[in-house]
Amino acid sequence: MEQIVFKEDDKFIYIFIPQRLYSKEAVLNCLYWKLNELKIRFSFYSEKEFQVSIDLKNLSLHQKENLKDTFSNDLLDYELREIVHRETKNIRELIIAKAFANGALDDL
Amino acid sequence: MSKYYLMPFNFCRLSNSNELIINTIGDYLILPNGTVKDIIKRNIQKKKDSELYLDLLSNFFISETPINPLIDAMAIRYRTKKESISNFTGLHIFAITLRCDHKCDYCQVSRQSQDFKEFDMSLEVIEKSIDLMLKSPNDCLTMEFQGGEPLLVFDKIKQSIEMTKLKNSVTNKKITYVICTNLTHINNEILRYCKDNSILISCSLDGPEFLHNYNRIYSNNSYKSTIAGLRLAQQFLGEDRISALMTTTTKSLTFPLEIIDEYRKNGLKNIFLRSINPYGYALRTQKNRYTTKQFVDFYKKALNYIISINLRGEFFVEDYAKIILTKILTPFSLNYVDLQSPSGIITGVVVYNRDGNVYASDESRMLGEMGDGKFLLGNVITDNYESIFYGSKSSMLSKYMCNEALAGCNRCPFQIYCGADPVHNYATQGDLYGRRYSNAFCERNKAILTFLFELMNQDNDVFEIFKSWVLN
Repeated sequence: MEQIVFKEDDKFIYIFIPQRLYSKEAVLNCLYWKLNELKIRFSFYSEKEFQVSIDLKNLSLHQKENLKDTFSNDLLDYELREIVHRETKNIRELIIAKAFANGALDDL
Repeated sequence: MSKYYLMPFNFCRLSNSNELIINTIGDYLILPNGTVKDIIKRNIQKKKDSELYLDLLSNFFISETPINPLIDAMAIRYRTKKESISNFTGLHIFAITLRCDHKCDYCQVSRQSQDFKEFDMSLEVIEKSIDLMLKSPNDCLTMEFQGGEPLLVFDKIKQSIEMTKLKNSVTNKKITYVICTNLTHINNEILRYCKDNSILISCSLDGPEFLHNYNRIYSNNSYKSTIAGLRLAQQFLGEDRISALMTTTTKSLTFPLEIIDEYRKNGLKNIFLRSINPYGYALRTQKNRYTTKQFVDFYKKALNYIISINLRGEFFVEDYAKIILTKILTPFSLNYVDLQSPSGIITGVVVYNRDGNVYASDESRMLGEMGDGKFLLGNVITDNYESIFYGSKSSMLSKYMCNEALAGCNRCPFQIYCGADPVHNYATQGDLYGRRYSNAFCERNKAILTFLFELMNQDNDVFEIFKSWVLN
């Protein structure tokens, strides 16, 4: 599976997310901002996929449609943020360490 | 694929099909949608996209070497943004009495009748509090008298200031004195003392008479007392020595323009559009409950009006925007405790309560007065400086004071401009860590920051106005 897949039964919307394309951190950060309006379960569905289950109870039709429309783009943004975070972690830590080292790390 | 290295940054989307990217030290660029993906995928070509490439390079979003040769300059910029950590506690609030002659609905404090003198700070507590204040490593201190209504105990204010001056002849700190008052008790004698001692006055003015009197309950006409006191103070001290603060109530939401015009009418050149602190005694009635969205709508209307005033040539500043814009447009930060990381509680402000209890902030004192000592750091009579400022309570709170380490904040582009507020988290969500996805502090600040960036991006004249606010 190389794309996000949405499935639905009478109780849940299931979102299957390929681990090859998206990190766990990106998925969790993305889901975090939806916790106010959605009841969410997150799990490793298989070695290749995450599964996100969203409770349909108390979810309006508008919320459901909005979720399907926006989730993929939101997740893509969080994956981009995660790539920057991963690639720049060391340099960010070095900037902060140098800022408060009073010159002790000037040779780095 | 181009050869460059990413530098730490974050991004969000603006409403006008643009992406806003902000780096670790607070530099920003507004770019067309899709650019962030291109930057990350190394699709920006040095020759073909030379203007963008150089913008990204010179603003520290990319680097041509694994470690940017200017990393030491970046570290200095970061340190400058976080200058408040190095200075430590600068604002020392003396809640010198709980007595007050007003009965405002939104008051956070458990005010007492003006006759109950047992709710005043004793001289022993005053002296011990001053000793603690002068132990602060910060060379520039603000000693702010709050209440209740502090002018009910003006003699104690005088004693406090004289005692501070005497003790400071050894410590030699630069001390600014502020009295926060409703102005009903101001007179020539008080103003003469204020003038002789360079004391600043901060008063409450909620808007036109009908609104001010609706919010601020007083046996006489609060508005008329305040305006009379304001005029007298302006004449005596000069307009720049007295400032006014407003609190937004539910009724205020309908009158943003009228509130601003009231400030202009009274010779004030700025206004701080403050939302109500959504907890404690302030929420005793439904009267003061409104949503963050309602406040943000009010704020946007008011700010647009203020901008139109400035466009007509009148210099008038919205202070909350100025605090944020200073962070965005300059290397510096103003010492505003609500927007700091590490949080401004303890590191920027402490409150000495009339009973000697020391609290981490004004809102912490309010919780304390309601019987919740979560942010009670100690007592000036029984505890010393080290145990109050560096003790187990401060240490416990410090775990929640950095937005860099909070879920939701850790990938937020506004992190460097914003702050951590464990008191707000605890008071509104029952948890020091807080939940950003349903947090009014987060919702309000993200909305205002986004609005400021959109305004600056849409209209260069607005950008110039914002710059003039920051530079003045």
